[in-house]
Amino acid sequence: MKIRVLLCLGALLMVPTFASAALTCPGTLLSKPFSGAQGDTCTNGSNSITSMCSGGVDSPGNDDAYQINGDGSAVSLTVTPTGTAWDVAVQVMTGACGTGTCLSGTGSSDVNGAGGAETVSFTATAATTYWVIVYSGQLSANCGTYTISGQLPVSLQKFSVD
Amino acid sequence: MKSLKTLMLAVASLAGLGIAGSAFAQCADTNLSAWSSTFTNNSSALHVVATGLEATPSACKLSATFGANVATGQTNAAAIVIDTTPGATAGGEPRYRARFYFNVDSLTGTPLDGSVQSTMMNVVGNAASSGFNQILRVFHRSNSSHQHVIRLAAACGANSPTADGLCRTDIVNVPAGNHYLEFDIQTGATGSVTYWLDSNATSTAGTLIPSNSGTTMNMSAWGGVVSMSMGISNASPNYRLNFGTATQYFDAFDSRRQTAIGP
Repeated sequence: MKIRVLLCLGALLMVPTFASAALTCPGTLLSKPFSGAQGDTCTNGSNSITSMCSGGVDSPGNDDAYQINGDGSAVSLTVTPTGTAWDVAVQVMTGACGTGTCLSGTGSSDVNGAGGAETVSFTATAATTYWVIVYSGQLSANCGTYTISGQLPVSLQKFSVD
Repeated sequence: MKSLKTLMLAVASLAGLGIAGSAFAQCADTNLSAWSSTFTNNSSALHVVATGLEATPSACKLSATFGANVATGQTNAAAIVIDTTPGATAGGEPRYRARFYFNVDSLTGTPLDGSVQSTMMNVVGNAASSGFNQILRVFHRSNSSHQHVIRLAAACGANSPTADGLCRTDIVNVPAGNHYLEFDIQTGATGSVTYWLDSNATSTAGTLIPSNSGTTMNMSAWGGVVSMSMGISNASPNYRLNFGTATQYFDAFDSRRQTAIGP
């Protein structure tokens, strides 16, 4: 008897793929299996979001938006800026991209200063769309390049007993 | 009148922070569910604690703090409660009156100077213009005399004397203790913002925020009010450095379309 379980796993392998267009809302869908992503808010981003979370979080610089379709599994993403000059920050939200409801706690990260990576983690409810906003930390209208690594929701695609 | 009903329900539920506490003597964080949502990140926190800030205190008030690690990062730290019920009206509420109580006594001493600022309230419009979407921001800040200063910054478009789309006014030397602030926002091309600090808006005339054309503010680019957030957010580096673990208190938020609120 052979049991086969095929999972769609978010891999940590980095296969850089620069976005070819501005990643304004509704942004680019992070597809699975996730092999990482790379972006550049200077080139591809725009300051489409000036503030989020009912004005509580400012985004004075360019921002990129990514879409994740939840399936009930855990999501963990780390955004690492290139170099040490740029202070990247990450905010996850539901509802409307850019103006929706911001996830609290680990759904938001601006812990480190310039050059520091930021990690967000949350459980992505099934049939719910999430927006991951990569932006410049408050008081910084700068922009920069970055990589996204981590794990997207794990989906059971096939189960069989042979 | 659908949205009016929604707004009134929101007011009732928000007032419930105090009502629930006085009825059950329980200032539990479960009361935060009265809000449309709350937002905290990293080490910031919101709690419902005793005792209220009104002259005849209710049982509970809202506490907000950033937390221990805020000085080294967390430039976007925030601890806010959010009311999105005004957004039920298409385009946002064209007129928005609100009142809340606050106590910032934990912000004191020599480090409290003109470089210390945090946002106590954001009133957000339906659209962004001039690089921001807040129709009105209420800041706590200070000056070289280490006084409490409440700054109001309103969207006013071409009526801004500083060409950044903002009209500002400062209420200086606010003494320690509990205070209540009320404001009346009338949006549109000939908008205005009237405010009262520790003054009964039901019986006294307020003060208008000045603009480069008297008190007229062209708010048409921002539309109506769609949401409000209250707590601590968008703080300056020296606020995070010196007052990251300080607690600010808020209470008795009320919002309406037309009627003055008072204490």
